[in-house]
Amino acid sequence: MNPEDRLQERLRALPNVPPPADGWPALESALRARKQQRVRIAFALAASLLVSFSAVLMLPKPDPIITSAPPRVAQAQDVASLMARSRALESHLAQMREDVPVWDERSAARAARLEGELSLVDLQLSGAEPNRAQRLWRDRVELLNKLVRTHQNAGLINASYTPSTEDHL
Amino acid sequence: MKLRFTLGAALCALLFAGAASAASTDKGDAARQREVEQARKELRDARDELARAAKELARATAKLEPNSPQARAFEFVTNPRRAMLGVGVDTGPERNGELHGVLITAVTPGSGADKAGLKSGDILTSANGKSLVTKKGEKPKPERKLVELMSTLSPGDKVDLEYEREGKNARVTVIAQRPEPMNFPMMDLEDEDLDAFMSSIPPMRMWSGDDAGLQLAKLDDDLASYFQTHDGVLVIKAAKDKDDAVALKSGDVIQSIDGSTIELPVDAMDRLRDAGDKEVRIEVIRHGKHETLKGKSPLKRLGKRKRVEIHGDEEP
Repeated sequence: MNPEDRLQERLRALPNVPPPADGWPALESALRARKQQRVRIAFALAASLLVSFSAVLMLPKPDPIITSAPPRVAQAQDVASLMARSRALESHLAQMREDVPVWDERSAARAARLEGELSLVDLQLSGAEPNRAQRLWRDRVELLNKLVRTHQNAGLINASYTPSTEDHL
Repeated sequence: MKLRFTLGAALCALLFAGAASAASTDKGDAARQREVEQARKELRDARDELARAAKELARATAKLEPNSPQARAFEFVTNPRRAMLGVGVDTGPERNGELHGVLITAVTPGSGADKAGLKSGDILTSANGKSLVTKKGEKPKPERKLVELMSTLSPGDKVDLEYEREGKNARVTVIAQRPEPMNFPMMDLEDEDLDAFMSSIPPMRMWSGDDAGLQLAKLDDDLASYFQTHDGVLVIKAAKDKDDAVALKSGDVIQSIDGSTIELPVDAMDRLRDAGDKEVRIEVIRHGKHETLKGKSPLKRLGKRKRVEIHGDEEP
Protein backbone atom coordinates (compact mmCIF):
# COMPACT_ATOMS: atom_id res chain seq x y z
CA MET A 1 0.00 0.00 0.00
CA ASN A 2 1.30 3.30 -1.03
CA PRO A 3 1.24 6.40 1.31
CA GLU A 4 -1.73 7.97 -0.51
CA ASP A 5 -3.92 4.90 -0.01
CA ARG A 6 -2.94 4.75 3.65
CA LEU A 7 -3.95 8.42 4.17
CA GLN A 8 -7.37 7.81 2.56
CA GLU A 9 -7.96 4.76 4.77
CA ARG A 10 -7.13 6.71 7.99
CA LEU A 11 -9.47 9.59 6.96
CA ARG A 12 -12.32 7.14 6.39
CA ALA A 13 -11.67 5.75 9.88
CA LEU A 14 -12.39 9.13 11.58
CA PRO A 15 -15.71 9.35 13.58
CA ASN A 16 -18.66 11.43 12.20
CA VAL A 17 -19.03 14.74 14.17
CA PRO A 18 -21.93 17.19 13.34
CA PRO A 19 -20.90 20.92 12.82
CA PRO A 20 -21.95 23.46 15.49
CA ALA A 21 -25.16 25.36 14.59
CA ASP A 22 -23.59 28.90 15.06
CA GLY A 23 -20.28 28.05 13.27
CA TRP A 24 -20.58 30.51 10.35
CA PRO A 25 -21.89 33.50 12.35
CA ALA A 26 -19.08 32.95 14.90
CA LEU A 27 -16.47 32.88 12.14
CA GLU A 28 -17.98 36.05 10.58
CA SER A 29 -17.88 38.00 13.85
CA ALA A 30 -14.29 36.91 14.50
CA LEU A 31 -13.21 38.15 11.06
CA ARG A 32 -15.05 41.50 11.58
CA ALA A 33 -13.29 41.98 14.91
CA ARG A 34 -9.85 41.47 13.32
CA LYS A 35 -10.71 43.92 10.51
CA GLN A 36 -11.78 46.63 13.00
CA GLN A 37 -8.54 46.11 14.89
CA ARG A 38 -6.49 46.70 11.68
CA VAL A 39 -8.43 49.94 10.97
CA ARG A 40 -7.78 51.17 14.52
CA ILE A 41 -4.06 50.44 14.16
CA ALA A 42 -3.99 52.30 10.84
CA PHE A 43 -5.78 55.30 12.42
CA ALA A 44 -3.41 55.24 15.37
CA LEU A 45 -0.37 55.19 13.08
CA ALA A 46 -1.74 58.06 10.97
CA ALA A 47 -2.53 60.10 14.07
CA SER A 48 0.92 59.55 15.53
CA LEU A 49 2.53 60.61 12.26
CA LEU A 50 0.36 63.72 12.16
CA VAL A 51 1.27 64.60 15.72
CA SER A 52 4.96 64.07 15.03
CA PHE A 53 4.86 66.21 11.88
CA SER A 54 2.93 68.96 13.67
CA ALA A 55 5.38 68.90 16.52
CA VAL A 56 8.29 69.38 14.09
CA LEU A 57 6.48 72.28 12.47
CA MET A 58 5.74 73.88 15.81
CA LEU A 59 9.31 73.69 17.00
CA PRO A 60 11.00 77.13 17.15
CA LYS A 61 12.99 77.76 13.95
CA PRO A 62 16.75 78.00 14.43
CA ASP A 63 18.54 81.10 13.11
CA PRO A 64 19.44 80.62 9.46
CA ILE A 65 23.08 79.75 8.97
CA ILE A 66 24.65 82.37 6.74
CA THR A 67 27.00 80.53 4.40
CA SER A 68 27.62 83.40 1.99
CA ALA A 69 26.72 87.02 1.48
CA PRO A 70 23.76 87.82 -0.79
CA PRO A 71 24.82 87.79 -4.46
CA ARG A 72 24.72 91.56 -4.96
CA VAL A 73 26.68 92.27 -1.79
CA ALA A 74 29.23 89.58 -2.66
CA GLN A 75 29.51 91.02 -6.15
CA ALA A 76 30.10 94.52 -4.84
CA GLN A 77 32.72 93.19 -2.40
CA ASP A 78 34.42 91.31 -5.20
CA VAL A 79 34.50 94.40 -7.43
CA ALA A 80 35.87 96.52 -4.59
CA SER A 81 38.58 93.94 -3.96
CA LEU A 82 39.45 93.75 -7.68
CA MET A 83 39.59 97.55 -7.91
CA ALA A 84 42.01 97.70 -5.00
CA ARG A 85 44.14 95.00 -6.59
CA SER A 86 44.07 96.81 -9.93
CA ARG A 87 45.22 100.05 -8.32
CA ALA A 88 48.07 98.27 -6.53
CA LEU A 89 49.18 96.60 -9.77
CA GLU A 90 49.12 99.94 -11.62
CA SER A 91 51.37 101.42 -8.99
CA HIS A 92 53.69 98.39 -9.04
CA LEU A 93 53.89 98.53 -12.82
CA ALA A 94 54.84 102.20 -12.83
CA GLN A 95 57.77 101.38 -10.55
CA MET A 96 58.77 98.39 -12.66
CA ARG A 97 58.92 100.46 -15.83
CA GLU A 98 61.60 102.57 -14.19
CA ASP A 99 63.55 99.59 -12.91
CA VAL A 100 63.63 97.40 -16.04
CA PRO A 101 67.37 97.11 -16.85
CA VAL A 102 67.02 95.75 -20.38
CA TRP A 103 64.00 96.13 -22.64
CA ASP A 104 63.72 94.53 -26.04
CA GLU A 105 61.43 94.86 -29.01
CA ARG A 106 59.76 91.53 -28.35
CA SER A 107 58.82 92.43 -24.80
CA ALA A 108 57.71 95.87 -25.97
CA ALA A 109 55.44 94.28 -28.59
CA ARG A 110 53.84 92.06 -26.01
CA ALA A 111 53.40 94.95 -23.58
CA ALA A 112 51.86 97.09 -26.34
CA ARG A 113 49.35 94.40 -27.12
CA LEU A 114 48.38 93.94 -23.48
CA GLU A 115 48.04 97.71 -23.10
CA GLY A 116 45.78 97.72 -26.16
CA GLU A 117 43.56 95.08 -24.61
CA LEU A 118 43.52 96.96 -21.32
CA SER A 119 42.44 100.13 -23.06
CA LEU A 120 39.45 98.31 -24.48
CA VAL A 121 38.50 97.01 -21.04
CA ASP A 122 38.94 100.47 -19.51
CA LEU A 123 36.76 101.99 -22.21
CA GLN A 124 33.89 99.79 -21.00
CA LEU A 125 34.38 100.30 -17.27
CA SER A 126 32.55 103.61 -17.19
CA GLY A 127 28.88 103.00 -16.63
CA ALA A 128 29.08 99.21 -16.76
CA GLU A 129 26.31 97.16 -15.14
CA PRO A 130 27.36 95.28 -11.96
CA ASN A 131 27.68 91.90 -13.70
CA ARG A 132 29.69 93.34 -16.53
CA ALA A 133 31.76 95.47 -14.18
CA GLN A 134 32.76 92.41 -12.19
CA ARG A 135 33.88 90.60 -15.32
CA LEU A 136 35.70 93.65 -16.69
CA TRP A 137 37.56 94.27 -13.45
CA ARG A 138 38.57 90.63 -13.25
CA ASP A 139 39.85 90.81 -16.80
CA ARG A 140 41.69 94.03 -16.03
CA VAL A 141 43.51 92.50 -13.08
CA GLU A 142 44.46 89.49 -15.18
CA LEU A 143 45.84 91.67 -17.96
CA LEU A 144 47.75 93.83 -15.49
CA ASN A 145 49.27 90.69 -13.98
CA LYS A 146 50.42 89.62 -17.44
CA LEU A 147 51.89 93.06 -18.04
CA VAL A 148 53.80 92.92 -14.78
CA ARG A 149 55.11 89.45 -15.69
CA THR A 150 56.21 90.75 -19.10
CA HIS A 151 58.34 93.40 -17.39
CA GLN A 152 59.68 90.91 -14.86
CA ASN A 153 60.57 88.37 -17.55
CA ALA A 154 62.27 90.97 -19.74
CA GLY A 155 64.66 91.62 -16.86
CA LEU A 156 65.21 87.91 -16.20
CA ILE A 157 65.64 86.87 -19.83
CA ASN A 158 68.13 89.60 -20.48
CA ALA A 159 69.92 89.22 -17.16
CA SER A 160 72.12 86.51 -18.68
CA TYR A 161 73.49 89.12 -21.04
CA THR A 162 75.36 91.86 -19.29
CA PRO A 163 76.50 94.63 -21.58
CA SER A 164 80.16 95.31 -21.10
CA THR A 165 82.60 97.86 -22.34
CA GLU A 166 84.46 95.09 -24.24
CA ASP A 167 81.31 94.42 -26.28
CA HIS A 168 81.24 98.01 -27.33
CA LEU A 169 84.89 97.96 -28.39
CA MET B 1 23.85 83.91 -35.99
CA LYS B 2 25.02 84.35 -39.57
CA LEU B 3 27.29 87.16 -38.45
CA ARG B 4 28.64 85.03 -35.62
CA PHE B 5 29.32 82.21 -38.05
CA THR B 6 31.08 84.61 -40.39
CA LEU B 7 33.24 85.85 -37.55
CA GLY B 8 34.05 82.32 -36.47
CA ALA B 9 34.90 81.23 -39.99
CA ALA B 10 37.08 84.26 -40.56
CA LEU B 11 38.85 83.69 -37.26
CA CYS B 12 39.50 80.05 -38.21
CA ALA B 13 40.92 81.21 -41.53
CA LEU B 14 43.08 83.66 -39.62
CA LEU B 15 44.35 80.91 -37.33
CA PHE B 16 45.16 78.53 -40.17
CA ALA B 17 46.75 81.23 -42.27
CA GLY B 18 48.76 82.38 -39.27
CA ALA B 19 49.92 78.87 -38.50
CA ALA B 20 50.98 78.40 -42.12
CA SER B 21 52.80 81.70 -42.10
CA ALA B 22 54.65 81.02 -38.85
CA ALA B 23 55.62 77.47 -39.87
CA SER B 24 57.08 78.41 -43.22
CA THR B 25 59.20 81.41 -42.40
CA ASP B 26 62.27 79.30 -41.64
CA LYS B 27 62.26 77.50 -44.98
CA GLY B 28 63.88 79.65 -47.56
CA ASP B 29 63.04 77.95 -50.88
CA ALA B 30 60.92 79.60 -53.53
CA ALA B 31 57.96 77.24 -53.21
CA ARG B 32 57.79 77.89 -49.53
CA GLN B 33 58.04 81.59 -50.16
CA ARG B 34 55.06 81.43 -52.50
CA GLU B 35 53.11 79.54 -49.86
CA VAL B 36 53.96 82.20 -47.32
CA GLU B 37 52.81 84.94 -49.69
CA GLN B 38 49.58 83.07 -50.34
CA ALA B 39 49.05 82.57 -46.61
CA ARG B 40 49.65 86.27 -46.03
CA LYS B 41 47.12 87.17 -48.69
CA GLU B 42 44.57 84.87 -47.07
CA LEU B 43 45.39 86.43 -43.74
CA ARG B 44 44.76 89.92 -45.10
CA ASP B 45 41.51 88.80 -46.71
CA ALA B 46 40.38 87.13 -43.48
CA ARG B 47 41.23 90.24 -41.50
CA ASP B 48 39.27 92.43 -43.91
CA GLU B 49 36.34 90.07 -43.60
CA LEU B 50 36.56 90.29 -39.84
CA ALA B 51 36.68 94.06 -40.05
CA ARG B 52 33.49 94.12 -42.10
CA ALA B 53 31.79 91.69 -39.71
CA ALA B 54 32.90 93.69 -36.66
CA LYS B 55 31.48 96.89 -38.15
CA GLU B 56 28.19 95.13 -38.73
CA LEU B 57 28.23 93.86 -35.16
CA ALA B 58 29.02 97.38 -33.92
CA ARG B 59 26.00 98.79 -35.71
CA ALA B 60 23.74 96.04 -34.36
CA THR B 61 24.99 96.49 -30.79
CA ALA B 62 24.56 100.25 -30.93
CA LYS B 63 21.00 99.73 -32.11
CA LEU B 64 20.19 97.27 -29.33
CA GLU B 65 21.93 99.08 -26.49
CA PRO B 66 22.69 102.66 -27.47
CA ASN B 67 25.31 104.37 -25.29
CA SER B 68 26.14 101.11 -23.54
CA PRO B 69 29.81 100.42 -22.73
CA GLN B 70 29.90 97.60 -25.27
CA ALA B 71 28.43 99.80 -28.00
CA ARG B 72 31.10 102.41 -27.21
CA ALA B 73 33.80 99.75 -27.46
CA PHE B 74 32.51 98.42 -30.77
CA GLU B 75 32.25 101.92 -32.14
CA PHE B 76 35.76 102.70 -30.99
CA VAL B 77 37.35 99.64 -32.51
CA THR B 78 35.61 100.04 -35.85
CA ASN B 79 36.36 103.75 -36.18
CA PRO B 80 40.10 104.28 -36.79
CA ARG B 81 39.76 108.04 -36.19
CA ARG B 82 38.78 107.56 -32.56
CA ALA B 83 41.22 108.04 -29.71
CA MET B 84 41.06 107.88 -25.93
CA LEU B 85 42.52 109.46 -22.82
CA GLY B 86 43.08 106.08 -21.18
CA VAL B 87 40.99 106.28 -18.02
CA GLY B 88 38.12 104.34 -16.48
CA VAL B 89 35.83 106.67 -14.53
CA ASP B 90 33.01 106.73 -12.00
CA THR B 91 30.99 109.36 -10.17
CA GLY B 92 33.08 111.55 -7.90
CA PRO B 93 32.39 112.13 -4.19
CA GLU B 94 29.28 113.95 -3.01
CA ARG B 95 30.02 117.21 -1.23
CA ASN B 96 27.47 119.79 -0.05
CA GLY B 97 24.75 118.48 -2.33
CA GLU B 98 27.06 118.41 -5.32
CA LEU B 99 28.66 115.59 -7.27
CA HIS B 100 32.24 116.70 -7.07
CA GLY B 101 33.87 115.73 -10.34
CA VAL B 102 34.79 112.38 -11.81
CA LEU B 103 36.71 109.70 -9.97
CA ILE B 104 39.45 107.97 -11.99
CA THR B 105 39.08 104.27 -11.21
CA ALA B 106 41.65 103.02 -13.73
CA VAL B 107 44.51 104.43 -15.77
CA THR B 108 45.48 102.43 -18.84
CA PRO B 109 49.23 101.73 -18.81
CA GLY B 110 50.98 103.43 -21.73
CA SER B 111 47.99 105.71 -22.43
CA GLY B 112 48.06 109.49 -22.70
CA ALA B 113 46.66 109.73 -19.16
CA ASP B 114 49.41 107.45 -17.87
CA LYS B 115 52.14 109.44 -19.62
CA ALA B 116 50.70 112.68 -18.24
CA GLY B 117 50.99 111.27 -14.70
CA LEU B 118 47.33 110.77 -13.80
CA LYS B 119 46.64 108.03 -11.27
CA SER B 120 43.72 105.95 -10.10
CA GLY B 121 42.05 107.79 -7.24
CA ASP B 122 42.51 111.26 -8.79
CA ILE B 123 39.33 113.32 -9.10
CA LEU B 124 38.90 115.23 -12.35
CA THR B 125 37.13 118.54 -11.75
CA SER B 126 37.21 120.08 -15.23
CA ALA B 127 37.97 119.13 -18.83
CA ASN B 128 38.88 121.70 -21.48
CA GLY B 129 37.59 124.45 -19.19
CA LYS B 130 34.20 122.81 -18.61
CA SER B 131 33.38 122.05 -14.99
CA LEU B 132 32.76 118.44 -14.06
CA VAL B 133 31.01 119.43 -10.81
CA THR B 134 27.21 119.19 -10.92
CA LYS B 135 24.35 119.50 -8.48
CA LYS B 136 22.98 116.20 -7.24
CA GLY B 137 20.23 114.99 -9.57
CA GLU B 138 21.35 117.28 -12.39
CA LYS B 139 21.85 115.67 -15.76
CA PRO B 140 24.09 114.82 -17.42
CA LYS B 141 26.15 113.47 -14.53
CA PRO B 142 29.83 114.49 -14.39
CA GLU B 143 31.17 111.17 -15.67
CA ARG B 144 28.67 111.25 -18.52
CA LYS B 145 29.98 114.70 -19.49
CA LEU B 146 33.51 113.32 -19.62
CA VAL B 147 32.50 110.19 -21.54
CA GLU B 148 30.79 112.42 -24.14
CA LEU B 149 33.95 114.48 -24.46
CA MET B 150 36.08 111.36 -24.79
CA SER B 151 33.84 110.03 -27.56
CA THR B 152 34.81 112.95 -29.82
CA LEU B 153 38.59 112.64 -29.49
CA SER B 154 40.93 111.95 -32.38
CA PRO B 155 44.56 110.82 -32.07
CA GLY B 156 46.76 113.75 -31.06
CA ASP B 157 43.97 115.88 -29.57
CA LYS B 158 45.02 117.66 -26.39
CA VAL B 159 42.71 117.75 -23.38
CA ASP B 160 43.36 120.13 -20.49
CA LEU B 161 42.31 118.58 -17.23
CA GLU B 162 42.10 119.92 -13.70
CA TYR B 163 42.23 117.34 -10.98
CA GLU B 164 42.40 116.84 -7.26
CA ARG B 165 44.82 114.47 -5.56
CA GLU B 166 44.95 114.08 -1.80
CA GLY B 167 43.25 117.44 -1.32
CA LYS B 168 45.56 119.35 -3.67
CA ASN B 169 44.56 120.75 -7.07
CA ALA B 170 46.66 120.40 -10.20
CA ARG B 171 46.45 120.72 -13.98
CA VAL B 172 47.65 118.47 -16.72
CA THR B 173 47.40 118.19 -20.50
CA VAL B 174 46.69 114.73 -21.85
CA ILE B 175 47.30 113.79 -25.48
CA ALA B 176 44.63 111.43 -26.77
CA GLN B 177 45.97 108.24 -28.30
CA ARG B 178 44.62 105.39 -30.29
CA PRO B 179 46.20 102.31 -28.77
CA GLU B 180 47.55 99.63 -31.00
CA PRO B 181 46.74 96.89 -31.59
CA MET B 182 43.05 97.43 -31.97
CA ASN B 183 42.58 94.26 -33.89
CA PHE B 184 39.13 93.15 -34.86
CA PRO B 185 39.14 89.56 -33.64
CA MET B 186 39.12 90.86 -30.07
CA MET B 187 35.85 89.36 -29.01
CA ASP B 188 34.68 86.36 -27.11
CA LEU B 189 32.85 84.28 -29.68
CA GLU B 190 31.85 81.74 -27.05
CA ASP B 191 29.94 84.34 -25.12
CA GLU B 192 26.33 84.08 -26.22
CA ASP B 193 25.42 87.46 -24.75
CA LEU B 194 28.56 89.26 -25.89
CA ASP B 195 28.14 91.00 -22.55
CA ALA B 196 31.62 92.43 -22.61
CA PHE B 197 33.84 93.13 -25.54
CA MET B 198 37.25 91.71 -24.87
CA SER B 199 39.91 89.43 -26.16
CA SER B 200 39.62 85.75 -25.45
CA ILE B 201 42.50 84.45 -27.52
CA PRO B 202 45.93 85.95 -27.02
CA PRO B 203 47.88 86.60 -30.21
CA MET B 204 50.72 84.23 -30.99
CA ARG B 205 54.17 85.73 -30.95
CA MET B 206 55.94 86.09 -34.25
CA TRP B 207 59.43 86.18 -32.83
CA SER B 208 61.86 83.41 -33.56
CA GLY B 209 64.61 82.01 -31.36
CA ASP B 210 66.93 84.63 -29.95
CA ASP B 211 65.66 87.38 -32.23
CA ALA B 212 64.33 89.90 -29.76
CA GLY B 213 64.71 92.84 -32.15
CA LEU B 214 66.08 96.11 -30.85
CA GLN B 215 67.50 95.78 -27.32
CA LEU B 216 68.07 98.72 -25.03
CA ALA B 217 69.71 98.87 -21.60
CA LYS B 218 69.62 101.29 -18.72
CA LEU B 219 72.96 102.96 -18.06
CA ASP B 220 74.24 101.72 -14.72
CA ASP B 221 77.14 103.49 -12.98
CA ASP B 222 79.87 101.44 -14.72
CA LEU B 223 78.42 101.95 -18.17
CA ALA B 224 77.76 105.62 -17.45
CA SER B 225 81.40 106.00 -16.46
CA TYR B 226 82.61 104.28 -19.62
CA PHE B 227 80.35 106.29 -21.93
CA GLN B 228 80.97 109.44 -19.89
CA THR B 229 77.27 110.20 -19.57
CA HIS B 230 74.44 109.29 -17.26
CA ASP B 231 71.86 110.49 -19.74
CA GLY B 232 70.23 108.14 -22.18
CA VAL B 233 69.91 104.42 -22.83
CA LEU B 234 72.43 102.06 -24.38
CA VAL B 235 71.72 100.19 -27.60
CA ILE B 236 72.74 96.58 -26.96
CA LYS B 237 71.51 95.27 -30.27
CA ALA B 238 70.21 97.26 -33.22
CA ALA B 239 67.36 95.96 -35.35
CA LYS B 240 68.05 95.67 -39.08
CA ASP B 241 64.62 94.93 -40.51
CA LYS B 242 64.13 97.97 -42.70
CA ASP B 243 66.47 99.69 -45.14
CA ASP B 244 64.99 103.12 -44.46
CA ALA B 245 65.09 102.70 -40.68
CA VAL B 246 67.21 104.99 -38.57
CA ALA B 247 70.73 103.53 -38.52
CA LEU B 248 71.25 102.75 -34.85
CA LYS B 249 74.30 100.68 -33.91
CA SER B 250 75.19 98.56 -30.93
CA GLY B 251 77.01 100.79 -28.48
CA ASP B 252 75.08 103.94 -29.33
CA VAL B 253 73.70 105.86 -26.38
CA ILE B 254 70.28 107.30 -27.29
CA GLN B 255 69.88 110.64 -25.55
CA SER B 256 66.71 111.97 -27.15
CA ILE B 257 64.04 111.02 -29.65
CA ASP B 258 62.24 113.79 -31.53
CA GLY B 259 63.46 116.29 -28.96
CA SER B 260 62.28 114.37 -25.89
CA THR B 261 64.97 113.39 -23.42
CA ILE B 262 65.23 109.63 -22.94
CA GLU B 263 66.06 108.15 -19.55
CA LEU B 264 64.51 104.69 -19.58
CA PRO B 265 64.65 101.82 -22.09
CA VAL B 266 60.87 101.45 -21.83
CA ASP B 267 60.32 105.13 -22.69
CA ALA B 268 62.66 104.93 -25.69
CA MET B 269 60.79 101.93 -27.05
CA ASP B 270 57.44 103.69 -26.50
CA ARG B 271 58.67 106.74 -28.42
CA LEU B 272 59.82 104.61 -31.32
CA ARG B 273 56.55 102.71 -31.27
CA ASP B 274 54.47 105.91 -31.21
CA ALA B 275 56.40 107.21 -34.23
CA GLY B 276 54.82 104.49 -36.38
CA ASP B 277 55.87 105.02 -39.98
CA LYS B 278 56.94 108.62 -39.49
CA GLU B 279 60.55 109.69 -39.64
CA VAL B 280 62.24 110.06 -36.26
CA ARG B 281 65.20 112.16 -35.20
CA ILE B 282 67.44 110.50 -32.67
CA GLU B 283 70.33 112.17 -30.84
CA VAL B 284 73.00 109.63 -29.93
CA ILE B 285 76.52 109.47 -28.57
CA ARG B 286 78.62 107.27 -30.85
CA HIS B 287 82.32 106.73 -30.16
CA GLY B 288 82.24 109.65 -27.76
CA LYS B 289 80.74 112.09 -30.26
CA HIS B 290 77.23 113.50 -30.52
CA GLU B 291 75.43 112.54 -33.71
CA THR B 292 71.93 113.09 -35.08
CA LEU B 293 70.31 110.15 -36.87
CA LYS B 294 67.23 110.39 -39.04
CA GLY B 295 65.06 107.68 -40.51
CA LYS B 296 61.97 105.62 -39.86
CA SER B 297 61.44 103.84 -36.59
CA PRO B 298 63.46 100.63 -36.50
CA LEU B 299 60.55 98.86 -34.82
CA LYS B 300 59.17 97.38 -37.99
CA ARG B 301 56.93 94.92 -36.21
CA LEU B 302 55.39 97.64 -34.13
CA GLY B 303 54.55 99.92 -37.05
CA LYS B 304 50.92 100.98 -36.77
CA ARG B 305 49.67 99.72 -40.11
CA LYS B 306 52.11 96.90 -40.54
CA ARG B 307 51.53 94.73 -37.55
CA VAL B 308 49.93 91.41 -38.35
CA GLU B 309 48.34 89.74 -35.38
CA ILE B 310 48.15 85.98 -35.58
CA HIS B 311 46.09 84.30 -32.96
CA GLY B 312 47.26 81.31 -31.01
CA ASP B 313 48.66 80.41 -27.65
CA GLU B 314 51.28 82.48 -25.93
CA GLU B 315 52.69 82.98 -22.49
CA PRO B 316 55.72 85.03 -21.64
